[in-house]
Amino acid sequence: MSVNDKRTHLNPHHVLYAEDMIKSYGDFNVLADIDLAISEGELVTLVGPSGSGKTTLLKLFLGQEKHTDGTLLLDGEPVKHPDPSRGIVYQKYSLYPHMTVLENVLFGLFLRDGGLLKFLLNPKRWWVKRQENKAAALSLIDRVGLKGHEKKYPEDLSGGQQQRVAIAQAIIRRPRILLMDEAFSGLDEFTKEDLQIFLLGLWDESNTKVDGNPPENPMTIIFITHGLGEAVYLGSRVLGLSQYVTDGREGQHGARIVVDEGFERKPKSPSVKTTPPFGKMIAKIKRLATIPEVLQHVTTFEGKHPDSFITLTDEQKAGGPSAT
Amino acid sequence: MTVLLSVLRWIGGGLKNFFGLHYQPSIYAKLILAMILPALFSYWYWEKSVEKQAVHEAACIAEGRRVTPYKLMPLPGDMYKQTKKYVTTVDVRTEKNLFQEDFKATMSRFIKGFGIFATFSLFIGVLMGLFPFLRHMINPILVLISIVPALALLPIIYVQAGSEEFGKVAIIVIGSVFLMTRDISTITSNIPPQHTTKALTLGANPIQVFWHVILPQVMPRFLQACMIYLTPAWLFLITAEFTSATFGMAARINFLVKTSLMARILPIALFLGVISLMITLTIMLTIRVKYPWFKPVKGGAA
Repeated sequence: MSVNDKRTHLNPHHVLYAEDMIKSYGDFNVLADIDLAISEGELVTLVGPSGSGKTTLLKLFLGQEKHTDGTLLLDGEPVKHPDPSRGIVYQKYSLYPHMTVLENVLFGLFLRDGGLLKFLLNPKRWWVKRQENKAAALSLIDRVGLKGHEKKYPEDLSGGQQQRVAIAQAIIRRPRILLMDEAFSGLDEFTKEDLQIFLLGLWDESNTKVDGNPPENPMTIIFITHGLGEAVYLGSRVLGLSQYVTDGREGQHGARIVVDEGFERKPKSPSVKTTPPFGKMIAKIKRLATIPEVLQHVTTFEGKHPDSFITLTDEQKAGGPSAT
Repeated sequence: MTVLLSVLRWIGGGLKNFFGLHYQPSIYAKLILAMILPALFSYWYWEKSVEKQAVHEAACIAEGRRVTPYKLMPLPGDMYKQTKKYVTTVDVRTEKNLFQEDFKATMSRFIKGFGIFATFSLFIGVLMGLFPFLRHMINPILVLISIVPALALLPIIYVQAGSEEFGKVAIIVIGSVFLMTRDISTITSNIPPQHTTKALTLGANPIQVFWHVILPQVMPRFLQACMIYLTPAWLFLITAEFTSATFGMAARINFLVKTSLMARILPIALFLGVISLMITLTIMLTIRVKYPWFKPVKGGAA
């Protein structure tokens, strides 16, 4: 069965549902025939080469842009304008530079419960809510590991810390879906892995059964990335978007979903990145999503450079303490 | 020479480093460097003034005239005397203190003109930055009008608005309002659109987006633009007062030009400079205190 065959039907578990969805600008199709059903509590990674329409798809999910044709439903209702049902974390500009860490995280709750009118109508309730919200924001800041940074401005934080705050800011109003647009791109590898583990922890926590009961607010995450490794590592489901693959029909250009792989719905260990199946999965996605001409044929990654001064002990060669 | 070298060593690590491309002066060195040119100018002025004064005195004696101070390059003592006279003189027509009347007239025109064009620029500029349809509708007209030198519009403004107070304020407003509105519009449209979308996902309505997201980010840049537009505002005010005014600091200078009384003109010009400096410092302090997150771009409005 082709990946683009209709194979899903809307059911109550589907938080997001798209059928025959097309997005075009004038005569140019960016997305063609998108069929997709995302269940509650999934961590979906959406991967694809530059220009494959990942961000356009995210804008459609967000309600920032409207699809040209087909169906797009959020909890069974047509997707409308951006609202608190969908949180967003961008690669840059997620945080407001004029607000401190606490104010940034608190902003969503302030918009809900703050305001002059609410104060004038019931000052006592307004004050109580304010204290509750502040406590909730402080607790979330603590949870993202930034206790003690509450009064700092975003500019005073590192890139990784800023993204932690951005995640806290986006989830404080408990959105149905958390959308992340290349959120960890541009960070160094160590910070990136640190944030990946952190995100998986948050997701796992929100999906863990409490006393045998299903989780109260399972977090559905749609993570857009151009890194195949990141997509396979993070996702409980990996969607590959490609503009290179067409079904041969005349005039049916535009990117479509060409990969839809599901994994166990639990966080993977970072060590999985070094296993052969992980590499094979990456190779498979690459094969499906890109034109063969761009694939490179490096066959081995072993060996030491002849000019290297590094000497390895037997223990280090076996994968022990790092080389000196 | 040894002393000079020691000083150079003290202010920046030796002569070679001092003239080098990577010289990084200390705070003391910066102060000293900033004072060099004013000190040289003052020295030159003092020497020249004393010399001219001596020549003038000799000429007066030779011609058998009463010895008067040399008007074109007055010494600080003469300037002090004339300033004292100016601030204590009572106008015979109005029976009011001349300096106070001039000061009040100038500041009133400046505050009205500056207040109107700054408020208008902020309001229209932000709306233009927020709504593309407004930007595309108004911007071409602003570009067109701002190309025309404001001073060329002076006669038109005086014909239409009259040369009374309204006309004077109008020239200050028209002199800067178009350029500043364009600046504020650019500043607003440069705010990342992600900020707006993010606010909507956090539950903000358009008014909250404007009030909590856009305006706080525009304000420090607007104040910075105000500092830059202070200069043209003064320029147009002085032009307006020069052209037609009975009272006002620049009007006073205009009257004094006929008598070449530099001992009074220079302190008035200096006083206008001090007022401008105080306003600039107040704005800078406001930005620093009220918007500590804002890192001003050196040498630019935005």
